[in-house]
Amino acid sequence: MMNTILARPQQGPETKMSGTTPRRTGPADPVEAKRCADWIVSVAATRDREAFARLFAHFAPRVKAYMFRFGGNPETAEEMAQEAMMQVWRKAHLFDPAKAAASTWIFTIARNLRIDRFRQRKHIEVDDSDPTLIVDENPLADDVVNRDQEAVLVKAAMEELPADQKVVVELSFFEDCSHSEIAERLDIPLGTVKSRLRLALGKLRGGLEGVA
Amino acid sequence: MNIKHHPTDQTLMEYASGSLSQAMELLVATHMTVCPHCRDKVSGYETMGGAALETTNSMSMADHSLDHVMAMLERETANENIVAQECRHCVALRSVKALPAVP
Repeated sequence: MMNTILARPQQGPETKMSGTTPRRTGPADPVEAKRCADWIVSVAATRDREAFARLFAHFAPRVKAYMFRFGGNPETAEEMAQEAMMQVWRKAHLFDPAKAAASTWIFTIARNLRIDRFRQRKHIEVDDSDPTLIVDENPLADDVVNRDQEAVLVKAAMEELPADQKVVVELSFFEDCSHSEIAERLDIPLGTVKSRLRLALGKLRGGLEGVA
Repeated sequence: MNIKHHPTDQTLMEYASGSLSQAMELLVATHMTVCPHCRDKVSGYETMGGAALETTNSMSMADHSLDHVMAMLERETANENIVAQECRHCVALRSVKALPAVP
């Protein structure tokens, strides 16, 4: 385990990747986020190529960076980002804007594809159509929550995180790191990892609750 | 059903980020079937994953990447249409075969 961690590029993807682009090119406000959701709906409804091209321009480079962090190989990352976007096209009819923002949905597609490819198995998920599924008796949130607005608030909270907290969140989501692996990687005590993550998640959760 | 034991927040976050073992994933997914509360938490963590995707550095796609993807998708659609036509053809064939043999 130790070796695999050490074998990873120490300088991190920021300096390793060629062709990185600056941040803040994503949807900055709910209108933008909604546009991404609308594009997916459009792809589902009319096989809208222009909408797909816009989704591709926005998400493919991000998904590629995500795959790169797990696979460490630009060719594989490119190919998997293409595959993820093809799934966006094929599965667009399954996208429900009431349940998830575009970025959330595409994140789960990328995550599932990564597990499928790198671990050669499926991510085990809850089947929403399962008749034994227990639903909330008083679903106060679901009908009211604006998923796009929620995603925008969480994103804003993410951008405002201090660097030491943000890196812990990114390692959790983007590199398959357990807390102790993060501690080793950043050369900080495990307790510090946990407290930084707790602080960060508290702030991000504030974004989720802001619209409930 | 009264659920007394929930997975920890850490476990739910690891489920959402996709870093649990298959066995743990199964455990969490099974629990979520009966626990809307934890389902909600997981979708919150997935939203955070989406936000992380939005705010992380991106990596330029190869030249003509989109054209390549569109071409592959077009080929797929074309194949689907061929299959659909073949199916109609099969139905036609079957109905011909179903006719009584000419004496």
